[in-house]
Amino acid sequence: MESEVKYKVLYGLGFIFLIILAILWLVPILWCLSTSLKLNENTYTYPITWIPNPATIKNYITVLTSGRGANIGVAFINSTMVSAITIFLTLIIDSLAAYPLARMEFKGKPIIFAIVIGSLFIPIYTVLVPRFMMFWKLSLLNTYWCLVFPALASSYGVFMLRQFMLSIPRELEEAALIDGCSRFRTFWTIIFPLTRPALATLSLFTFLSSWNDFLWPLLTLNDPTKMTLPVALQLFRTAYGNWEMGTVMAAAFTGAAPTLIVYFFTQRMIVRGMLTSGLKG
Amino acid sequence: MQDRRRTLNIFSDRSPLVPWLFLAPFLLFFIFFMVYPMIQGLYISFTNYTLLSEKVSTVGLRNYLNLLRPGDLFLISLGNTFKYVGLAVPVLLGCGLLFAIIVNAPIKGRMFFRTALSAPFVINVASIALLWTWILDREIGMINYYFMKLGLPKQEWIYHPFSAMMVIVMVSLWGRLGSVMLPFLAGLQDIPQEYYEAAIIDGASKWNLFRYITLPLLKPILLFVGVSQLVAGFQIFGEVTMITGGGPGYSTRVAMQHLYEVGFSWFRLGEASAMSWILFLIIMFFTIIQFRYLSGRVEY
Repeated sequence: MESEVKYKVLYGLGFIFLIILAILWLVPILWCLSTSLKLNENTYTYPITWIPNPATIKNYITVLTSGRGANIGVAFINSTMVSAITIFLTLIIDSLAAYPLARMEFKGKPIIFAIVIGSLFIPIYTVLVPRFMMFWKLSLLNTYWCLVFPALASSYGVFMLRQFMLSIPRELEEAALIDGCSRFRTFWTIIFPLTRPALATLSLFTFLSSWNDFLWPLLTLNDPTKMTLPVALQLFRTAYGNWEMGTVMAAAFTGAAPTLIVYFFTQRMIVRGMLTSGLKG
Repeated sequence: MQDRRRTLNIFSDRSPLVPWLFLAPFLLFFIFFMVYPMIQGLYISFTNYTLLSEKVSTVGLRNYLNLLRPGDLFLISLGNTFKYVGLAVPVLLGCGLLFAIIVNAPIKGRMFFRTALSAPFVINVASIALLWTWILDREIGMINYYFMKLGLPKQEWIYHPFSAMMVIVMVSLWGRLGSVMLPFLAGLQDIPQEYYEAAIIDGASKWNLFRYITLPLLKPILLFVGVSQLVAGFQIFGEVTMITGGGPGYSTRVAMQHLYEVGFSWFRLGEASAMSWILFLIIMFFTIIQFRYLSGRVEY
């Protein structure tokens, strides 16, 4: 009896704590959204108001069509393009590379695999300067390629897909190989389709990292028509004053919305992906 | 089929080249954009390379020694980075684990709470920085408004050395909680309930359940999360440059920001490379320590 009371009190306290936490975590996003729907002159009123009155999407139209400093609409298209190209090429290249690491025995495999794992821990800045010089010399600064190519050098996907391929039963491909299928046909018709869940997770992670990447694009893109969203946002901010926060918040929310929406629909997949890639090797 | 094999020998399945053909596209990018830059970066760190200079000469360890001169701005930035990592990583790991345990309990609406607490980790750093600068604005910011409503003094936030660092830590906690909480949560769900049931029958207390079952079984995840947060912490950049700009004074200037400015505003690429290698060695050191203490077989 006594323990039941204690449990209820504990439960109640925990619940209140959680509600406070959730409010603290959601308020910044909601305030950003609320501000972005206000007219600029209504953003610094005293006392503050949470419900925009009048509510307007004027800021979003400004942000997406014209905008001083950087054009967020163009940046949105750039970000989408870069993400799409990176995802497409990453899936192909990484799954091709993962296959022999999961299924074939060959000389040099342990070394390749060790390098693949080791490079997971290399922070970006060790290659920042030479990579920059490289793209500068190749005259590829301010192009999509200076964002796509380095992303393809990441061994994260190779590692993750290899781990997944190990869990596919061998019998399926052995049957195909005995029937005279070439290694490549076996890979393409049997292994690749079966890897689909891992490929979906990899697409998601690649999308998040290429959409959110900040430092490298900041370094390599200085032409506003070529910028991806995070870089454009930082330039955009410098062109606006404190009395125009409605417009600035509309830009910030435009940058955040795609990843948030994707996250809401794929949360389970992301959590599972974080684990399978990180540990269960 | 037979014929084709004979003619295109390198594509035959018995050819030792087959695995390398599969690996080739990846290795091409990997060598060109990862291995080669690493080696070149090490070389550059021993030269006086600037993007505009015609003549490049090696200067031995001079770049390294200059950076480690007492009072050099790099050391100040590095010190701030350590301060940040020392504050943010333990706070993140602690809160991440605590909140994961709470939202793992059978609570009404726990899916909502999980989503709410973890969602910010998918937002890009520029959006995060913009919205927090707005919220923390000294004059018209929402937080100072509520502070005044509650009769608390107006806070300086990014205009005071101490609170500026706290702001960066706070924003990191807000923005990165998901990347710590979610792995912990998944780890908690993987622990078989029977372990707890057996221990409860044996009369174990709540604390002992945590200490002798939960914590040891979470060790691999703690290692994974700890290492990745440490690596991320040493790379903190966007939050600082866009929220405090490294100020006031140099109080929140971090190593990455210093590297960025030396390398790409002043184009002293040799010096910037040396910096990146010092940082790399520091991170390697801490990563190895974590592996030594946290890896090893989990005992059931």
